Amino acid sequence: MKKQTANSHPGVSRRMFLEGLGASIPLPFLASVASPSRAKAAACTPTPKRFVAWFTPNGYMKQHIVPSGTGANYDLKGTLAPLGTLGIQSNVSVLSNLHRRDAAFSGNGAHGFMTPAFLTCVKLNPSAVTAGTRSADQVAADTLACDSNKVASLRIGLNSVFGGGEEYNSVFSQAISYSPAPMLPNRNPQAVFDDLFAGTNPMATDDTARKRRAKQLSVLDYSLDRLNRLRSKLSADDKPRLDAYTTEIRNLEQQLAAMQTTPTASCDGGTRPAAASNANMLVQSEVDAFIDLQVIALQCGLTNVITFMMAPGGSFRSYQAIGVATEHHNSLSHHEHPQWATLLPMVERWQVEQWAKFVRRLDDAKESDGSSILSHSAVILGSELADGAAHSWVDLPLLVAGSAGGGFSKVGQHIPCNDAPMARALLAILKGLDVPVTSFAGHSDALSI
Amino acid sequence: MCFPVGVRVVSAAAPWRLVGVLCVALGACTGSIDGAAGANGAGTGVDPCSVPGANPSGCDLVRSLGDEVPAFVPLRRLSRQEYGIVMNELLGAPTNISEAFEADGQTDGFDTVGLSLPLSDTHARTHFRLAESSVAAALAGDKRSELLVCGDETATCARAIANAFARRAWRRPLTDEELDDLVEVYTSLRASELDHEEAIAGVLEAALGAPEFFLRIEEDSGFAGPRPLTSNEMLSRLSLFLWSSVPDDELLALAETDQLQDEDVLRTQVDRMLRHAKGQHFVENFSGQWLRTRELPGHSVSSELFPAFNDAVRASALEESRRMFSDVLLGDDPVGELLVADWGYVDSALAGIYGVDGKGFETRTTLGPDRALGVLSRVAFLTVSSMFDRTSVVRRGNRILSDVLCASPGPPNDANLELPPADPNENLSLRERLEQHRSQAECQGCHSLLDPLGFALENFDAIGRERGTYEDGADVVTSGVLPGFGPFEKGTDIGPSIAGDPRFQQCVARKLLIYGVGRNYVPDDAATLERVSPREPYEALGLREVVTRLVLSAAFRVRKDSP
Repeated sequence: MKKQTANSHPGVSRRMFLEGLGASIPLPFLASVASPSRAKAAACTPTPKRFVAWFTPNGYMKQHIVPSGTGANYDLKGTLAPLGTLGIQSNVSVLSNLHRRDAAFSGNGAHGFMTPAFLTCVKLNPSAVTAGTRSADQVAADTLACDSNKVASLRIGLNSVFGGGEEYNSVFSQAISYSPAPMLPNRNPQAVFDDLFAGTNPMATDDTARKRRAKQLSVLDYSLDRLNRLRSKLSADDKPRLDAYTTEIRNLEQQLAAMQTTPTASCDGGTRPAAASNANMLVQSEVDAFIDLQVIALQCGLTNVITFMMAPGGSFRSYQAIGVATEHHNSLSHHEHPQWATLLPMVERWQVEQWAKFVRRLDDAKESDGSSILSHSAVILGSELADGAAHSWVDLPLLVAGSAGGGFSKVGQHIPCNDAPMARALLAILKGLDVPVTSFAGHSDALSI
Repeated sequence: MCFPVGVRVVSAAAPWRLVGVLCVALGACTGSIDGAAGANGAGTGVDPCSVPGANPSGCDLVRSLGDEVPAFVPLRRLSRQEYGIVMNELLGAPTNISEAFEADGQTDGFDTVGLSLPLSDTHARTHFRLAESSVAAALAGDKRSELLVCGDETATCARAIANAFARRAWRRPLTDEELDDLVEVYTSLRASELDHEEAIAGVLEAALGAPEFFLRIEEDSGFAGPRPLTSNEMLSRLSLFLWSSVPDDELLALAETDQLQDEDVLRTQVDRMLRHAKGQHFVENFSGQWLRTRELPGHSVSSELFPAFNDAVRASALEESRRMFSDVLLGDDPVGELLVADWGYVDSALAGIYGVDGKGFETRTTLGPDRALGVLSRVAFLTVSSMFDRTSVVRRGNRILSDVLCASPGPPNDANLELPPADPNENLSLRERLEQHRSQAECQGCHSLLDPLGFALENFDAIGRERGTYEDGADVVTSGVLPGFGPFEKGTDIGPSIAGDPRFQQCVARKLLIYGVGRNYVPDDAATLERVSPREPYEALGLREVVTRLVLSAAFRVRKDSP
């Protein structure tokens, strides 16, 4: 019979949690109980570096997105026009002619294979359901996530039916973050809002809050105890998955345990958004809600790392809301019909416009020292494929906004990359964000961006 | 798996359709299937069947296995669907609370496969948040009296409440020690000055916070060979498979007395569980994923081209699909009835689509000989197997091939992947384009199968209405030659052959295996399928019998621990 809990969280016992608890408001957290997963986190500065990756499915038509000139003041073709309209061109570099050949495969399912490669750049292992390596955002979170963040990385996306990867495991078309197991995005803005902001009741009395926290700690402590007992009884293949989950629950317990006893001014999450619709149509208000959530999450210090999927890889979404009444994947992106080749750029420009709106918001959002959040960030936009019609993984563009706090040298330029691996671009971004990596996906020569 | 190639050229005008991508999306028929089994580990433990007192029923099965060694089944959590159902049953929470989780991944269309169900930080946070709010709502609402099985403000009462709740939530009886631990949560919270009911809430939340609730746990015995699942493990597998939920007292009692390895008991319980109201969760979740009708609510349909397809039609089509599956499951017809039924359920919303006077959902409506293809000729399947604005011959063909015959095209050759776009100015008909496509060696294998199956349903449009012509006035031609089945004029000519084909019945068993056991299909499972539904001699079985035999099979009852 168990009567001690020492193995569940070294150095901190349940008794310590249960005694002397005060009122609760969950910010900030004590460094002394920092979680193992964030042990390497740097002390949080008032102006932390941030990494945000936006994914759009089914590629971009090269002729409409890649500028003809190079360097600064590149020409804004149709798809890039929103960069000019929203006044952010000087903050956005266009990297062109990159490839993901390292992730190339012999088989079916371009979307299912290449969506994981968006941020891993390596070939996945479908039968083990793993991307084979951790994605760039997760690597970035090791350094960028700080103890006071509510979530180490926020992974969100929009609903859509999708076609890629049905043959073996659809999970790969749905995720761009990998641990290296798939980390699926939450596609319900209301649930994301609740995840970030729910849990505190400002109307609660001190005593009510104290009791609630005692209960929550007891529940988490019990859960960890059960998880630890279970671990020794599991098959070797099951243990790593359980361990990852146990770590997350330990994080929750430690965050709760480290709450300050006096309320801290908390960040206003704004209005709780509506739940996601179930339809496979574009709903602009959902996009807007997700943009708001990302801006608030960064501004409030709830996270420093975000991945956002505008849709899963191989999305079948239809875009009636912007006057494109056919579906994205099989009709539009395989644009063999002349009419579709005209409609597809409308969707692609709309995607860039949403991203540009977000970038603009981050440029307008100021840190305590008056600098913009964007200036300390790297915010990228890309797709799993180049031109969707060919399902090709060469000649890929990547948009990069922000200067990563001085980490980039060529902000606001068109940078032709001469058929360089995407991994070299992601390495340059990680290095620009001061993530201490010497290589990424087998490449150690960062591009100059 | 591929049939012999044989194509008869049939031409007909048809609207322009996409062909170049089809081979990419569907692949070539090389027939390889990803394996999930790892290399054998060095289990050092003792064979559980060599221990005195081992249950003879399960051990007899293990000894009779021969080469039918089941693959390792990875740990899995509750799917989002199951989570909502379980929280509803235990606490009266709305089933849609589970929409707060990130979406589940699927394997072969099913969301019950452990490796496709990530255990993430978001999942953990959401689970604890939902557990807290759902317990609070339950104690303040209709479930209060069911949960509070006694009223004394004592640890003894707390123990009774914990036991009544946790044995259902954990889908197994608890040991005394495990109950002690839950009572300790209660006493420590009382010591922190929480009142009785606040501490009870903590106990219920703790039971939900345990991995025994949100995971389906099968412990490693340390033995390298196959072993029978324990009665407790069988209980968890059964309740999730057939109810998508928690067990009832009858099942718990059978597990407590170690009777869930006995074949007669299992046979009786499978029958009871399927006929139970909770068996409808199986109907909805299995059939909805197998036939992909669960995609219907999110499937886009062009409102400009198909104004008749409204939310009422969506809901009714899904309901019809469920009822047809349920009828065949609970009735005495062979499984093949699903593919040859000329009856359906037609309410006022569907009457316009089918062009008949419907008799509602309580009475079957006969739809006539052209709809005698069962679920394949009903609105739900016909719509989700179509595109937004048109039918897709290849998509429908692939759904039938993959989901009904389990003859899914394997990965294609690299050569397929970068086909040059077709010249839209050639103005070829759909059939002509598909024929051109099939003439390429690497595409021929698949498309000689996909195309005829798809064309056989071309007399139904993208929302399942019958049609004789396309929008441009060209005649619909449904005829073709299906390799292995011969020539046909229309779909209903080959429906009975497919329904009576041993491959169909085995395919149903295979889908049940993936869904119920919760892992990938591996080639070694062929032996299990052969036992469940032998090809030779072939015997047409009822659907309930197929489910029962799958439960009795080694794949369901035997575990190989160390992979």
